[in-house]
Amino acid sequence: MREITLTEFQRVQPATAGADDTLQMDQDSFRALYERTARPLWAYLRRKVGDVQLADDLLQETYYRFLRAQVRFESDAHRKNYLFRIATNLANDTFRQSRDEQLPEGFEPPSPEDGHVAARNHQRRTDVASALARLKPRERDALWLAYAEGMSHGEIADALGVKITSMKVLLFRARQRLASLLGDEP
Amino acid sequence: MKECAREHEIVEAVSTGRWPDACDADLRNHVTNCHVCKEVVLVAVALHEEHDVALAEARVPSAGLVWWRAELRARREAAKAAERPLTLVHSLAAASAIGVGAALVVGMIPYVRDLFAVFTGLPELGLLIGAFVTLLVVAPVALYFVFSDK
Repeated sequence: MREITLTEFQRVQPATAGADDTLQMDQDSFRALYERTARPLWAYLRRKVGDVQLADDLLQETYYRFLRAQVRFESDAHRKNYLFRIATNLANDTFRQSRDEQLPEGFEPPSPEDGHVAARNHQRRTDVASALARLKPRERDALWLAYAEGMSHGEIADALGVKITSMKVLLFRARQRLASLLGDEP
Repeated sequence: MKECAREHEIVEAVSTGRWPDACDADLRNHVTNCHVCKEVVLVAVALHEEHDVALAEARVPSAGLVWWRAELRARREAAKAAERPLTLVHSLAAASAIGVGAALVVGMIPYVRDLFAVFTGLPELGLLIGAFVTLLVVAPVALYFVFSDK
């Protein structure tokens, strides 16, 4: 995607001196954070909402809300957790609006490619997708953050906005269920 | 709720791609004998593969574009917030104009009625004309304030 030049930016920026239009970090710091977090965050949103366009929109909205948040961050991990928390809430709001808590399209595996290995991978992804589909959305989120993103219990609790003790129980049960479902696959 | 102290080692081995061949034989042996860790491996490997596929599919916009959109929106919202007190003043002015207009019309009704009673003797006609005058005075003022923001 094309970068925006400074001249283009200056041309479109309206004169609103004095109004509160501040973002909570400078552009260089944002760029560094974005490079580290954008792709995992997009993958999380894409899996959660099941739609590429919607994931794109929610990604932009997530970073906007992050930049406008009046929060004092202690570390990069805190920033990342906060981003995932915003993304989770936005995606949940989207679900609430559409009143559709069914399996998002994102869980549909890609069409099979040629070759035995590709077919086997496709079959495996189908199995994982159908097993994940049988979990509750919150269980899927917790498992994803724990085993795909490698977050700790505390970080997941922070990102999903639940207590750490509840998170441990939720994660334990979700893992048991998923393992049992994956173990049952033919 | 069963836990194992080596869960984190397994998750790390899977996420760094060291599982199963490049990790300690000790860890592999542990997994064969530990029910919890067997479960962790099954789930972690499946989700890690899903994660890799999702990352490969990810096409995110550039940081510059996301930053630019955020700045633009922040400025727009700040401008809107700055205009909010003006909108309040406009609304108050519109309400006052309507109130004054209505009071004038009500005050004029007896005179208008007297005037027309001389000619027709029908008080209802005076009311009708009064309403018409109200409309002529108030409607343009109200319309102006309604549409002036846009």
